[in-house]
Amino acid sequence: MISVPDDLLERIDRAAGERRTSRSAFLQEAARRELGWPDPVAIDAALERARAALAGSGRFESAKLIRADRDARDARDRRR
Amino acid sequence: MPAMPAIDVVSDASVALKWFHAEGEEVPQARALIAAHQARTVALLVLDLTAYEVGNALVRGRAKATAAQVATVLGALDEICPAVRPDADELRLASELAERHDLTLYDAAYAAVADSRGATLATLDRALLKAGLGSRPSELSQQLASPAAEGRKRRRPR
Repeated sequence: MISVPDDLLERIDRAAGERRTSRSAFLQEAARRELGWPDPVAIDAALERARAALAGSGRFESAKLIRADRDARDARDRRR
Repeated sequence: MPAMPAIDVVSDASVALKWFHAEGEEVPQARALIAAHQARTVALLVLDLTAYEVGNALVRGRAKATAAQVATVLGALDEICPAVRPDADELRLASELAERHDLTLYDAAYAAVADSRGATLATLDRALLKAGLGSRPSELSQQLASPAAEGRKRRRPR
């Protein structure tokens, strides 16, 4: 059993309504998100490792690379 | 305790790859999403699909990345934000969006997850942008800079 002030409950219900979800689902998602926030220091370390790994990978535009990959995959699917 | 996030953002692979590779358009804006995620003004999500897209583009595309490089990048992606798997309702919506906007189901899955979770899709993909289903990182940066971001969460047209 948890206790929630009326004004907060009202905000929760409003936000849940905007997201077309239930109060219960909204609260579960909020708790999951709060408990699951990554550590900013760990994020910085992960970014540093990944950027160093790709430092010598040459010049490419990510959006074009991903689009080309999606188009190629779609073309393969269409041939099946 | 930090305030609840103002904006929920689903990032697709075209944006996520810019977190690690500084080339091309909107790199600072794409990386600003990470900073906002660290500051908890954005709740950043990717899809389970994102790791495959990022990894495949690195291995098979012009980057010609090695397995070790790809593993490092995908490990970092996993540490930065959660990867969600679309549920049955989201996949149904993705199918509808794919049909309506002539998108691949892969593209549409990003838009469906963002829509169903009340989030904004961050993308630099021309097909998703043309369909009006996503926002450029630069547009999101402007939203984040506004103190009224909470009240301006976008609903994407279906």
